[in-house]
Amino acid sequence: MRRPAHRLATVLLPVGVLALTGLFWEALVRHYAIPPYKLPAPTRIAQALAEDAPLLFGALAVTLRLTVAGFAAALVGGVVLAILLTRSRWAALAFSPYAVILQVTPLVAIAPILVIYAGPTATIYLSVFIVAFFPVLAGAMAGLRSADPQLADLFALGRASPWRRLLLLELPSAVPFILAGVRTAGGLSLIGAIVAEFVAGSGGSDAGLAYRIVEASYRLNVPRLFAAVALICAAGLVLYAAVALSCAALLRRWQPDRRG
Amino acid sequence: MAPLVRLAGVGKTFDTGVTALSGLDLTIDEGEFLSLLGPSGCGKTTALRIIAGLDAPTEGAIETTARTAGEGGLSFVFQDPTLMPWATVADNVWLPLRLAGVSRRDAAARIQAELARVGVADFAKALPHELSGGMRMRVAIARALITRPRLLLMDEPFAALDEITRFRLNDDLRGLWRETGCTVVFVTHSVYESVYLSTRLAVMTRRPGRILHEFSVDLPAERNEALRRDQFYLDLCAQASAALARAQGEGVR
Repeated sequence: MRRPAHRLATVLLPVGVLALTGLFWEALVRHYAIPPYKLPAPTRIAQALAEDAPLLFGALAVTLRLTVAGFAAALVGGVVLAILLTRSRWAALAFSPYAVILQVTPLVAIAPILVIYAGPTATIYLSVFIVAFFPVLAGAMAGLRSADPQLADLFALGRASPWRRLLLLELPSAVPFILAGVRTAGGLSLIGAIVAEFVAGSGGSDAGLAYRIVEASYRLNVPRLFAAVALICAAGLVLYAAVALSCAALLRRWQPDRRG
Repeated sequence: MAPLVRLAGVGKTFDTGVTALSGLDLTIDEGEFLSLLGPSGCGKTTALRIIAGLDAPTEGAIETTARTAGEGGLSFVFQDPTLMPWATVADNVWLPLRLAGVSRRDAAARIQAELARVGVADFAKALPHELSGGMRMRVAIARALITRPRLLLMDEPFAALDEITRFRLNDDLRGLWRETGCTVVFVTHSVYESVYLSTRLAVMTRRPGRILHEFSVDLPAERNEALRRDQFYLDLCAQASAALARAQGEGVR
């Protein structure tokens, strides 16, 4: 267990750094009278955030909705495909290369193709799915094969059906591996959504946060640009924390044996 | 009465080309406590797995009436407790019954009775990682006993435990064997443990393993700490040690 003083420091020090940087930034902008279209002061960014709140938070909601939906689909899809691929060696041999190909092809390169056939909204959803899918699949594949061979012997002695073996042995054994994939996927999914919006995002009420960034950049609305980036940054942190905390809570049961 | 298990000329060569067993003859009678004693890597585990039906022999034949699944069949205790880390102690013990189609509700009383029998009744809701090594092994034994097996196969179950825990588990295992009346085949490389526990001893040669020597252990049924200093017990241990020493030199024929 870490000492309380140390724990306090892990929070206070980064916050202090942020505060000092903000103060320095504010002072710099004021002292040299830098215009907001070149570098907006933190207070100006905060003001933009407040003034444009309906626009920016609406856009954030659009982006987050697609991110969470794509992430959830990737989670289910990754685990289901891993189950199918681990049932048959032939299926694994036939399809595994395509999962890798999908993974190594940069998303920005695929998105323009997707947008032709799927339209802007579905493209963003699919993009999140594509980036989040692979870590879950890889984790689940490794996890489903990780069951203790002696436990598997016990299931064989009990003449367990393949279905019960999957449900009672292989899936529970895979949980820590799947969650490791989920943690990676959680971070990637917001990036996937933003990248896809840059390529495929559309205006109007469906506009996501990345679209607002592009728009603000064309209009030289630099304070709003900064405000939007700050918002994405905060959303990413919240998403990461939510995924990490739920994984840690789930994993408490999966602690390996202590010796002794 | 027909023996419970009969192995005749059993040999096992793995795909890797390693021959673990060759010409193994062994008969296991109902109700006995048989120890398989042999040097490390002599194929003791392979012999046990063949008896269980987890591996098939590549040579020879095996006859057994103990291989029914579920109740009254055979149970296996591994060298490691091999518990499911995500499941409570009670759910781990439930597993063999669960695979046999018994619901948690119907199994509850038996789970509790089995946990009480091996002395971990208070830990039904604990997770395996919260228990000590000895307690985890007790849970593994409870899991093996819950189906009321006719044949209990144990593969060096106490090898990783400290001596005090091991002695206590030896005594408790003797008690359980006498109480349940099941047949036990106990694999070990410890001479003292095998003589202390068994009614009969089979010493195996170095790989490829076969039975070099068999003798019955004519000690009283009631065994306790005092026996560990008993002269007749120590003589039997010396006899077994000598056989084991010869077994180390045998093997390649």
